[in-house]
Parts: sequence; structure tokens; C-alpha cells
Amino acid sequence: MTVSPAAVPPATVPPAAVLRATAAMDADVLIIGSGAGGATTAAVLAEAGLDVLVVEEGEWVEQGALVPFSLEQMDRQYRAGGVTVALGLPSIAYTEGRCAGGGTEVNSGLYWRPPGDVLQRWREQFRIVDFDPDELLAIADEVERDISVCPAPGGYTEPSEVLRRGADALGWRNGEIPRWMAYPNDQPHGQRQSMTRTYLPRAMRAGARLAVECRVDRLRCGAGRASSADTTLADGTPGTITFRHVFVCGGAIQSPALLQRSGIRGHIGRTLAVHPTVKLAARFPEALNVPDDVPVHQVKEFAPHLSFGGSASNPGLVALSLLDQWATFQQAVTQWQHISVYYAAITSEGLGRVRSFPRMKDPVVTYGLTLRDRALLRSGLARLALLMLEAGALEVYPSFKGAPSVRNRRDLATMQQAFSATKASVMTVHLCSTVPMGELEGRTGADSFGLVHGCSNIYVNDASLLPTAPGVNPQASVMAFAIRNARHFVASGGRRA
Amino acid sequence: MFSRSLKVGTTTTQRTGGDAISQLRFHLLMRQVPALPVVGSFAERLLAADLPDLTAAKRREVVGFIAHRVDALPSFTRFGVLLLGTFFRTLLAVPGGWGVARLLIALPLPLVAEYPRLMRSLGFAYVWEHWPATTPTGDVAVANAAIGEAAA
Repeated sequence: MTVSPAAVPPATVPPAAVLRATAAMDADVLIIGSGAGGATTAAVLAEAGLDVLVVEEGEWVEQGALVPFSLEQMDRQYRAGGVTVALGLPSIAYTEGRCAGGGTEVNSGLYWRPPGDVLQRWREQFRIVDFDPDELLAIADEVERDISVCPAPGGYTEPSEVLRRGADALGWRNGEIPRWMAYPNDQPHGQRQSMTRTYLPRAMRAGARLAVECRVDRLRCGAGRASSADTTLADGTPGTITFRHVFVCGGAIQSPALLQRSGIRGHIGRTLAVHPTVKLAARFPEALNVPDDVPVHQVKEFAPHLSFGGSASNPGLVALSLLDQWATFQQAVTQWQHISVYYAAITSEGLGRVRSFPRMKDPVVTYGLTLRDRALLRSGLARLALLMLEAGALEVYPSFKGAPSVRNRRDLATMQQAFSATKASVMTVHLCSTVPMGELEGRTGADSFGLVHGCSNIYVNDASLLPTAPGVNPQASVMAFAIRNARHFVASGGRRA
Repeated sequence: MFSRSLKVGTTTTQRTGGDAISQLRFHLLMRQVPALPVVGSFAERLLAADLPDLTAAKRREVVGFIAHRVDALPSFTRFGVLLLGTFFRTLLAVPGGWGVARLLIALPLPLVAEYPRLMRSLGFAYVWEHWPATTPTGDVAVANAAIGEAAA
């Protein structure tokens, strides 16, 4: 991975430059969503001289204005206050960003390039044409410069050291994951180089318009072509946007939902892929809790099937992690400063669905874990608990109903026996693959450059396109593919039919 | 969207001829039913049982937050939560209903078990984010006094 030195953060766009949507707007190219896919698409197209309008359902929130991972941030920058769930046994909680910049404003900021073997597999199994993995990795180089991907200067936080220390003791492969952060004057707290600080200002400098608090309800389509979008403005009044081309970049849940609401059929929303995670809280002799940041280390000894990392651990989230077995774990909450929360994430073989129904504003999301997924979650949680003990944890509190606390290796067997995925708090933050790209009939929803099958001017350009879950944080993959596809759109004159 | 939905909704409701179940479903989906009266009593009982030392005023504040979050849920999830909420609210109105409710929520019933879990998750997240020194029984004042003494 190319790692650039920490750059001076670019100036943010003054909020005055962000538009309030109006009832009637038009553009050559409408981009729906301003996250990792939408912002990069906007920058490429605007810099190519196209008339670009980006609409975002959420509000513009200045980076640093809210406490990271707080309930207020959940209210203002997440969809449904962060309370969204894929129904199943167990149901899987997930989160989606809903603000200018999308998920890049609120996620951990950890950067992973798309693995080369995964790119090869996608190309072959989904027949992605004109796709050179090396070209995509060259785009990743650019992205890394643009968003200042770099390691943290100086030392690591103690919760991060816990992961390193435990993995080292077990001889497990681990390392620091660089982040899209700038660290002016080597300050330990970085400034997140999210879309509102990078690609959105760049797009706007090139003439793109950004309108916030504007929800797109449906696209008006006829004969495989969309000509306008029905919108709802912040005050509830309806609006319309006319356009020649539209890029749907609302993320892996909202993009297929919008296409379905617009009457577009095909392989849309049928193959939701996620990285399910289970969690535990670990208590240490010393106070180590960092409420507003996450560890930068990840343990990849069992990757791609299984990875370990650290979660946000403010007092509210510590209490949540103890909730499943509150009767026996409750005393630990008084020592939240000594507790940090960690996760085991798996590459799932299960699949989910996104379905929209008439007159319902939001889609219904479902997900089913396979037996192999359940076994992997069980072994993942046990290995993570072992790692915590090796790192010096006094006590480990797994997040599932009926969980015993773990104080030594003997307790691990008891914990494994008691574990069942249906009793666990399973969640995910990586959602993808609901409109997979490629030419393979019956398994893809869009062509090799994101043009929705059967349509002549409707593109998808976000995490929905990734054919499967990549096994690593997907944002880098999303950005690289979005830039590739946008460049192809420009090179082909924006008139692919 | 909202006004347009209401308009469409009026038409739909008229078309279905006043079918009560259909109307309830529609009103729940269209966010015309506020969550607080539906989930409030159950959330309050649950918090009183889990965190008995949380003062009534603080408990009401937490319940208000829970209802606010339920109102913001995606439509289908909100519909399900309010259906369950209606069931439990009815149960609580019956003598001995809380005992039955406690029995039900202790069972590993799919979806039913998710309801108290949602209430607890939201409530606990709020309590410990706003008053991190709260004791496991919900005593905010004692914990804060202890902090004050330590500081002094």
C-alpha cells in the first residue's frame, strides 16, 4: 500500500455554498447521494466539464461539530438514528450514514485497498469486462493521496495496543491500518479527510452543485430511460429534478430500494452481502477507554474469513455491550474507563435481500446466516476472547444472551458451548453487493461500468456494485470503482446506450 | 413526501371502506401514530425493573428519548415495533399483565424478544452516555456525589 505523508487538510466548503433543494431543479447529470461513491463521481464528472447536481437526503454537518459515536451524531448523521436492522435469525443491526459525505463522515476511517485476489475473482466470476485490477490499484494510489491515507503519528491508543499485544503474544498476524486522516503538526487526534473535506469541495470548485436535505422518492422511467426524479424537500413539499443521466449512489440499501420503487426489475437487491460481527467487552487493570476514537490495529491471522478489531467504546456503548447478560455483567459498567469493546468480523457466505413495497417509504431488509457463518462467529468470538486474555484482560464479557464471563482459558470452552448466533448481538457496518456489476446474466444488476441492465441512462456507482463482500473495509474499493466508472462515462461521451 | 403520502393515504383508506385493521396498519406505516403512547408504559416498566434507582423524572426523560427513536425507525420496523408495543401495552393494562410480560420477554421468541431488547438498548445507551457514573441500579445522584467527594 502506498502511504503518503500527512497532508495539510484542504479548506472545507463554506456551508453557504451548499444549496437548499428547490421544488424544480435540473442538471445534465444528477447524482443521488454524496458518500464515497457519489462524491468521487461528482468530482470526476464536474472536472470533465459536465453540469452536475448532487442531492443528499441528510444535512451538512461540519467535521468535528459533533462528538464521534455520540447519540447526537447518530441522530443527525445516521439513518433512523442508527437504529436499522436486517431481519433474520438473528437479526443483524446495521448503520448507514445519512448526511453530506455519507458514511465517510462517521466511520472509523480505516483504509484497506481491495485485495488483488478478490479483484481477480470478481473479474472472472462476474465477467467484468475491460477491467484491469492494476488499473484499479493505480486509482487507489490517487485516492490515497487525495484523502491523505497515512499511519497515525507517534504512539497508539491503549485499546489499539491491546490488539497488538494480544496478537503478538499468540504469534498472530496484525498491524496498524492507515486512515484517511490529516495530522497537522503531528497532533495525535487527526482530522478525518472525509468527503466533505475532499471530493465534495473538489467537485464544487469544478462547478458541481450540492443540494442537501432532499430525498429522492422515485425516478420517472419509461422505455428503460429515466427523465426526472420525484423528490421531497426538508419541509415536506414535493419537488422534481429533470436530468439526462442519473447516478444512484445511495449505498447498498438505499440504491436498490430507489431502483425498485422506480419500477426497475432485474437482479436488484437480491444479494446483499455484509461482514457480520460479534462483540465482547474486555476489562483491564488500567484505565484505557477512549470514548471518541477506535483502535487502528486489526488482527488478520485468519483473514479473509475472520478479522478482529476495536469498536467505539463510549460509556453508553460499553453499557450496550453488557446488556445481553445484564444480570451478571452489570457491575462492570461502573468500571467503564477500564473497558474497551472489540469485534470479530467474518466474511459471510449468507445473503440478504432488500425489498421495497408500495406506499412504504423504507425498504425491508433481511439477512440469513449460513451454518458455516454461525460456526465462524462462534470460533471468532472465542479466539478474540483468548486474544484479550493474552493482552492482559482481567475479565471478558461476550455480547450474547446467557454468556459467561471469561477470566481464563478454561472459561473459553464454556463460552463456546454457550454461544449461539441467534442469542448474540450481531451487527455490521459494511453493506454491499445489492446491484452487482458485470456481464454475467442472472447474477448482476448492472453492467461492467455500473449502467443498470435494461436501462440507457441509469447508473449505480457505490458499494452496491461490489460483486461480493471484499473481506476488508470496503470504502477504498467503492471509491476506486466509482472513479473508474465515472471516467469511463466521461470517456464514452456520457452517451452509452 | 409526507403530505403526498397523506393524500394518497386518504384515497387508499376510503377505497378500503374503513377496514379497521387495514387502517391501523396504514396509520402506523404513515407515522400518524406517535410512538410515546404505544411504547411508553412498557419502556417505563422495563426501566423501573432494570434500573430501580433511576428517578422518575430521569426515567421519563429516557422514555421520551426511546419514543423519539422509535418514531425515527424505518417504516416497516416501526410498524412491527408499534404492533408489539400495542400488544404489550394492552397486556400491562390487565391485572398481573406485567408478570406475563416478563415471562414472555424472557422466552427466546423471535422478534418478540427483540422488542424489550430495543427498549433496553436505547435506554441504556442514553443513561450511560448522559450520566456515565450511573450505578448498575440506575442511581445517578449517588454516583455523581461520589465523584464530587473524590474531586473535593
